[in-house]
Amino acid sequence: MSEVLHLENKRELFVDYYLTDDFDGTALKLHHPAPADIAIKYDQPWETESTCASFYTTVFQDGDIFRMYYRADSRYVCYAESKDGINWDKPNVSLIKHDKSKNNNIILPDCQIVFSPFLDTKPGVSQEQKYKANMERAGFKLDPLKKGLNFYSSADGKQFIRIQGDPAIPWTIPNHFDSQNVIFWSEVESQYVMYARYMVGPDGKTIDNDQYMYKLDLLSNSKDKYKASDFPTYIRSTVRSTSPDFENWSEFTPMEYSDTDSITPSAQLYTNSTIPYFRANHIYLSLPGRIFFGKIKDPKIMSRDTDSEDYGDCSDGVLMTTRAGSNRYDFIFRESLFRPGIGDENWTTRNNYPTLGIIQTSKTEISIFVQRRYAQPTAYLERMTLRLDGFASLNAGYDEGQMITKALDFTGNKLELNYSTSAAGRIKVEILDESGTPLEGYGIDDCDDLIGDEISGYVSWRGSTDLSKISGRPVRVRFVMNDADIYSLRFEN
Amino acid sequence: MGSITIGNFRQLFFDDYFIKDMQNVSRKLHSPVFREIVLSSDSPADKASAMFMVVLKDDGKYKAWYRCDHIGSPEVRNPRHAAYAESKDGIHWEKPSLGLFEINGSKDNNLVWMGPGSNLAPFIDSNPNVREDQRYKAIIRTSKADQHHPIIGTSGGLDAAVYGLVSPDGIHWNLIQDTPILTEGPFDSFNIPFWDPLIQEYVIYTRGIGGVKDSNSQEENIDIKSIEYGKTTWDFFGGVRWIRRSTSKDFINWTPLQDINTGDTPFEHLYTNSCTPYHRAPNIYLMFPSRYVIEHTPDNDWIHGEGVNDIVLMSSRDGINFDRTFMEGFIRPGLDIENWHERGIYMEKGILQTSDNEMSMYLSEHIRYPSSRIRRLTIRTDGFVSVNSGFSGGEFISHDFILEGDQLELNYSTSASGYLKAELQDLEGTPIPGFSIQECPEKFGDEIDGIIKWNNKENLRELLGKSVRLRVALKDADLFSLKFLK
Repeated sequence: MSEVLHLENKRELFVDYYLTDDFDGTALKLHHPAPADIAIKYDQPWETESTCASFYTTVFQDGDIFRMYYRADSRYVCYAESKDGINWDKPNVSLIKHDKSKNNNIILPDCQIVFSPFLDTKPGVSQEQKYKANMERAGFKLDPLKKGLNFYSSADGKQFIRIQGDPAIPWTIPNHFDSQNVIFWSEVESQYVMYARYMVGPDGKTIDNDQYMYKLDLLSNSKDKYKASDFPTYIRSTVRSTSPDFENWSEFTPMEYSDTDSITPSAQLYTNSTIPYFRANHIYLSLPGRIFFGKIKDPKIMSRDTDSEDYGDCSDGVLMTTRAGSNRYDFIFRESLFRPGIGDENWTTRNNYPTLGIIQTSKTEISIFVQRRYAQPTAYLERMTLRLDGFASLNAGYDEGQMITKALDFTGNKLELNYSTSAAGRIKVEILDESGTPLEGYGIDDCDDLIGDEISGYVSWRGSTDLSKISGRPVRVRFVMNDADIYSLRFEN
Repeated sequence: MGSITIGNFRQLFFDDYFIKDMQNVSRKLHSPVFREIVLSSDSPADKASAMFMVVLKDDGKYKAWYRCDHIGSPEVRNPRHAAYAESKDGIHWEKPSLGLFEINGSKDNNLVWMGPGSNLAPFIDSNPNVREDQRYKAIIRTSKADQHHPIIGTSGGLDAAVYGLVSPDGIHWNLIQDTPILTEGPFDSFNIPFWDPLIQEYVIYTRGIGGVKDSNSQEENIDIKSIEYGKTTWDFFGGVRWIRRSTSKDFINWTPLQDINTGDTPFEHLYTNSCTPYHRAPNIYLMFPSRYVIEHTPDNDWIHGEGVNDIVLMSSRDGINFDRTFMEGFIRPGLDIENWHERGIYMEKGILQTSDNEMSMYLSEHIRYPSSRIRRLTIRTDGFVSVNSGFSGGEFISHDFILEGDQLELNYSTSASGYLKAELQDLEGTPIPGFSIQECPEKFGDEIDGIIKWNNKENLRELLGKSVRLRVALKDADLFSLKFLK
C-alpha cells in the first residue's frame, strides 16, 4: 500500500500526477491562454534608442496594486504600475537621468542582463528590505571573480540599493546566471528559494565550471579561432538553492526533469519563471521560455541586434510544475503552452518568453504576460488570460470516464471543485475506502449531479455536502465524468 | 480503394472525407473564444430581448437582423419584432433610425418587420436569375399571435407555417405571396433559408421531430395535438427536437421536408440549426445546433422549465447527412450562471471574416433575462477542427485524388518545437521522386496560407492530372486546412 497523501485543506491542481492514480477514459489536458491585449508597449525614447531589446519582466501583486519591472533597451531597469493588472502606466519616478531629464520610469541605470525583484513576504521582514532583487553581474571584460549575482533591497519597490558583497553569490556554476534568476520567500518551505539559470551537459551530467570558463575565455578572447560550434552543446537548465536568511545559501542542486528523468531537459530552457501559485502555494508553476537554436523561420526577419549565428532561433513558452521542497520539475505537457503565433514578428530570437509572475485579474481569470517582437521597434508585452486554476484539467469527452485518486486524507468537511461541463456533461464523485470499496452514503448513486461551470462548486451526496464523518480517514476519491473538466479541488473547512 | 474528388476546394477535417488513415495524430475540436458584448436589448424597440440574429456582409459592411421582443402586457406574450443593425468591423454595431414602424408612439427605431409572423431570417439571393427588387429574401414563421391578421388569419397557415418575404434592400420587406411556403410544422424557433450555390437551389432548414419509430414517415405517424409534453428525453411530440430540410428552385414551391441524418450517433434534442455553407469551402455545410439536454437541470427553481442548452458542431457534404465526430459541446454555457437554464444560449446564423486571420461568430446569451444580449466569439480562420499532433509527432495519409493544382497551401500552426512535412505518393504508396518526405524541409510557423515546397521543386505542375495521395507528418502542430492552388 502506497503512502497516504495528506491534503489537509490545500487546493490541488491537475497539473501533475501527484493526486491521480488510475485513469479510465479521462486524461490531464493542457489549456492554452487566450490573447487579451497589449499590457506595455516599449515605445519611450529610453526604451527604443539602442537595441529595443526590452525583456525579462517581473510582475507581482502588492496589496491594492500590481508592480512590473523590466529591462528596457538592454540598459535600464524600468518600472510600471497598474490598479487592475490590465491597464498599465509607466509612472514618472524621477530617479535616473536619461537625455538630461529624470522624467521617466527608469529605476536603475545599469541593467546588465536581468533585474529580478520580488516582494519579500517573510514574516518580520523590515520595511527597508520589503522588496529584494537579484541582478546578474556579467560582461565579457569583467574579472571572472567579480562575476556572479548581486543583491538589492528597497523600501518602496522603486529605489533599490545594493546589499551584501559584490558579488553576493560568486560565479560557481556554468553559464554565470545568464538569464532571469528567481528568488522568493516560500511560505510552505519557510525559507528563501532560488531557481537560477546554469548549463548542463547533453548527457544528463553536470559540466565542470572551470572547464566552461576556460572555453568561454577562449571564445571571447579569440573570436577568429574558435566558434561556439567547436564546443559541445550545453543545455540551458535550472539549479535550486535555499537560504534561511537571504545571506547563507545552500549548494546549488541541479533540478531534474520528468521528461527525461535526468538533470538534462529535453529542450533548451532559457528561463524558468518558477513561482508559487497564489491559490496553492505548495505548487510552484514554472513557465520557461524554450529555445530552439538554428531553427530560423526566415533569415530576412532576424532581429536587429542579432548578427551572430547564435541568434538564429525561435522559441515558445511551456508549462512545468514543481512542488515545495522538490528538486524535480514535472514536464508533462511538452507541447507549448502558447505558440509564437501568426505573423513573422514573433518567429525571431528570444521571443515569446513568459514573464515571471501570474496574477489574478478578475474573479474568474488569471493573467500571464508574454514578450512579443523582441528587439524590434514595435516590441510589446502581451497579456494573455486563463481561467482561474485553469492551466490544466482532468478532462473527459462525450463518453463517460473516470479517475481514481491515490489514497489520501483531508481535514476539511466539504469538497470544493473548480469545474466546467457542457450541457450534456456532468460530474459525479464517489468516496472509497483505501481498498476501493465505496463508503456508505458517498457512493456514486448517492452523489448529486454536478452540472454547470463554477470556480467554486460543492459536491453533495443526497443533498448534503458534509464530509466531517470521514475527515482524517484515508480514502480514495473516484471522479466519474463526461464532457467536463475539473481544474482544481480542495477539501474545505 | 475509392478515390475522392477535391479539385481546388479547400479541405477541412470535420469528417474523414480527405483523410484515409491517421497515426498518432487526431482530429481536434477548437472552441471559439468569448469576446465582447456587441448587441444589447437596450433601446425602446428591443428592450425585452435580442436573439435569433442573421449576420452577413454586403456593400462593404456587415449587416444584422435580429428578433427583438417588445414588452407586452402581462396577459399577452411579448410581441416579437425584427430589427436591423449595421457594423463596419463586426465589433461595433449601430442601430440606425429607420423610421418605418411606430412603437411607443415613435418611429425613431431600427425595426424592419412587425409581423405577421416572427423570427425573420434573411439572406442575399445570389441566384444569377434573381429579380433586382427581390435581392433580399427571408422567411418568417407564424404563430397564434397572428390569428387576427387579415392575411394569415384566413390562409390556413396559423401556428405552423413558414411565409416567404422579399426585399430590394433588406430593410423594406413584403410577403412574397399571401399563402405559406411551408405548412408541415413544427416550425418553432429559428428556421434558416439560403441560396445554395452548390445545388443551385434555395434551401430551408427548419425545426423537426427526430427519433420517432419510423423516422421516414414520421409526419404520418404523429398526431401532433394528441401528444403531451412529457418529462423524458422523448418529450417533443414523441421524439426529440430535430432538424429538417426542404429545397426549392423558385422559393415558392418546396420539396417535402426531409430529416437530416446523423448516422448512428445517439439522438439528442437539436434545433436552431444556424446552417451555413462554409464561405472558404462552400462544398461543406456547417451547422451549430442548440443541444437541449432536458435531463440536466442545474437550477430547479427556474420557472420556465427543465433542461439546459449548449452548442454543438456538425458538418455535411450533401446538406442531409451530417457528421457528428464531435459530440462534445462546441460552446459551453460557461462561467456565467445566467446562461445555465433551458434555452440559455443560441448560436446565431452567419460567420463573418473580420480579419484575414480571424472569423467572428455570434452567440445570444442570457435569454429570458432582461439582460438578453449578443456576444461576439472569435475563431481562427478555418480553425474549427485541426489535425493535431503532440510532441511525439505523427502522420496521416489521404485518400487517392487527382491532382488539380500546382501548389499546396496549408493553414497551419506549430510551436517552436513543431513542424509539418508533406509527401506525394503514387497509388502504390511509393513516394514520387522529388516530392518525398525526405525532400521536404520542415515547415514551421503559423500561417493561414503557407506554401509547402520541396528541396528542388517549387511547384507540382509536372504532376497535374495524376492520381496521387498526400502524406503529412506533423509534430506539436495543427493543420486546419489545405488546398491545391491552381
